[in-house]
Amino acid sequence: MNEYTYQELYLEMNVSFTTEITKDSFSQFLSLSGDSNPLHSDDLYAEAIKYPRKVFFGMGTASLYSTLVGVYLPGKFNLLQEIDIQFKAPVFEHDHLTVYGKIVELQPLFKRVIIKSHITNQNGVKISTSKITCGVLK
Amino acid sequence: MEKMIYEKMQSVFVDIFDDNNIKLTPQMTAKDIDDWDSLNHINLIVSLEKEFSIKFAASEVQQLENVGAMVKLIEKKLNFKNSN
Repeated sequence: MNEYTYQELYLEMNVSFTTEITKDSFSQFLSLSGDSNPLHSDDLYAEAIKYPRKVFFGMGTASLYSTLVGVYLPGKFNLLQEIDIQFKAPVFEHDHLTVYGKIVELQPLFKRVIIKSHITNQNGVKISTSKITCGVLK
Repeated sequence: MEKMIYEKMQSVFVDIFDDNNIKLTPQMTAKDIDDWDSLNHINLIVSLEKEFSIKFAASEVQQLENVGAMVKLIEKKLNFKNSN
């Protein structure tokens, strides 16, 4: 886990990490959220509405933005305040997702940073974009 | 200048609090607007800095009692900026 303090952060500072969506990812997010919509559990239902197979939860992929700021940038001293997300493409089991974030604004009066971020899959397709506002505790 | 500041602040408040019905008055405080909490106060101050191209000090922000005080502070900063 990174432990960047506010003083160590700078414009254009960026990080990325990659993770895989597994079978367990589906069951774990279902358990956490209670979102039992069949789009996320039933391949036949997903096919009937024109998806190749069941689709991973959009908010499950959004949770990777939490990892981005809580573990990587700024890391330990992060306090997530706001996030705006646009979902652009579906995510499936075994997809490898790369999360990228870059500091685009520093607000020293309140020790806040604005991070522009996106997630892409193994084919380079952008599956979501976000704008994240974080306080930095130290 | 005060009228111009109120007009610009009005649009900032409408944007931050997502409420087209807000009508600013000098006596208005956080108690008068539903979502004026500590987080939106930060968003408000940052947006005002951008709108007027000014910077606030932490001590100045802490002393603001109401919208009228905000306008006075912004006016003071704009006058200082214009005189330099």
